[in-house]
Amino acid sequence: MEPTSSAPDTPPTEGFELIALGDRAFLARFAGERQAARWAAAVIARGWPGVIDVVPAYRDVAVFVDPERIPLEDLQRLLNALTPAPEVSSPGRRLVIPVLYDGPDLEPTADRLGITPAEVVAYHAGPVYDVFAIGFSPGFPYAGWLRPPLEGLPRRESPRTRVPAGSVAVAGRQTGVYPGPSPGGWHLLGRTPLCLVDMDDGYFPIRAGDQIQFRPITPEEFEARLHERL
Amino acid sequence: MSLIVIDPGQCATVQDAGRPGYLRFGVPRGGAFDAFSADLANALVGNPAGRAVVELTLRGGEFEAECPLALAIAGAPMPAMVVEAGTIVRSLDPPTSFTLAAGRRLRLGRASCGLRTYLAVRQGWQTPRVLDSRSRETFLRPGDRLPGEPGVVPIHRPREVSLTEPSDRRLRVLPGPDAGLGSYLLESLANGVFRVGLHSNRVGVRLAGSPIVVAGDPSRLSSPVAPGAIQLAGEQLIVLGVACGTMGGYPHVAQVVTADLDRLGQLAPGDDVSFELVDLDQARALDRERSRQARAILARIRSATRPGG
Repeated sequence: MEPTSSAPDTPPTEGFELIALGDRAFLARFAGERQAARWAAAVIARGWPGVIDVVPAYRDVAVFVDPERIPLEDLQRLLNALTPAPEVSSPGRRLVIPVLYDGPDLEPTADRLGITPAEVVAYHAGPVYDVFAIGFSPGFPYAGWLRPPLEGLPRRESPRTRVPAGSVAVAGRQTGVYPGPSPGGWHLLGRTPLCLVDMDDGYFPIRAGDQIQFRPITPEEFEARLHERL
Repeated sequence: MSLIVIDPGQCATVQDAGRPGYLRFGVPRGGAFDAFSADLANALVGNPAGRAVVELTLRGGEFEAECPLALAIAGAPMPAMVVEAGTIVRSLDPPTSFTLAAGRRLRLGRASCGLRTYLAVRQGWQTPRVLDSRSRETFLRPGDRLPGEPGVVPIHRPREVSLTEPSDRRLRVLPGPDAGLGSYLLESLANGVFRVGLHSNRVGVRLAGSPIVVAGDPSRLSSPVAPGAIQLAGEQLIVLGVACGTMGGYPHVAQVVTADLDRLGQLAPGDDVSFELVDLDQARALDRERSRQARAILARIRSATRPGG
């Protein structure tokens, strides 16, 4: 049996499947990440009463509902009728994240790939990445996709118990930034001096659907911009 | 003025209704795991639902009042007593409201059935708020102070407060988004008996039982999850708890119905649990009915405990 979680190779033009996610939520499943992000942005923009949380993650979007504020059947009808906006531009913003590439895994990664650390930096800082989801920990962006030869590194065999805040990391085809100190199994290439989340203030600058790009900086710029907000 | 933590028991945290609205930023919902019991404790001191309470787990511990405090306990039955200078002044029979005089201590033992008990104060514990909530996953430690307004409340023990039989360890479930990975999955779930593992917590309830094998899809992308999601991690089941992360990578085979989520919060390590498959209309009807009952019970208790009432 074909796993239901893997999407078909040829996406339908704009269709999606809306299924129940338990008795107080719906899950919309798309063929592509960008369609999912655009649809999620459209649901959030509608501001329907009773919609508590809208969570995009890759090709899925979950919509969590308070059934005492809107009949679930009514919302289901509204969601089914909502098609993703046509792709005139990216649904989000493009954010540049400065990075001091001095991570403990930079050299081992270069050795493993048979390239120089400077080449690892060039491959990582080159592309513009899509943010597919925010999760794992508050404000952590899952972004991708990495390009060869950088893609395909398996996670560390034993995750670090503590990864410093601001660490910029890669694993598989993905890259991300640890906004706060946490355990972590990804490969650490560098650090951003910027503050990417402030829970006390409700500050979450990166959203699913945004695009991010990494820019190499010097130790001096790192020191000068430490704790500045993104 | 405060309640001083002398001994936080097995583990204790401050919880309220959690942080709805922040899942898309990766912030877990959190909040009291057995929300009805938390709000029962709140109602006993006249609070509206969702005020901050202390969530006690398995063994309650000991707490000392700096000033007279209007308190209530509800949830898993833990032996409870008021102690002064090492002498038992009064036994309490939860769920109940009571006044803890300055210098006296509340001592709570081990739950005889269930897992979580809630300690409320009139107006709620005034611990710091982050993102509109006082819910915090950090365990209370000896010496911590829980700020609360001074107050007194008569002993009030409501009757007819139970929404579910505490010894009933049956969870009703809906098929999850990945139930289609194997036609036998839901059958294995409904026919099996599972035991709650020792390493269960607010993030996830681990279940031991007959292994369930499903063909893994290494390219599976993470998908949004919510408390009550039943995931197949390796060959074992994990039921995600109220403090679970916002996304999950394991196959999501079933989902506990909302009406049974409080019961999930009362499953203790070593308990046997079974599952019963229901359909979406049944699950939604159970949810509506339970919300209606809970509201009616809480409103009745609040009106009975109003000062002078």
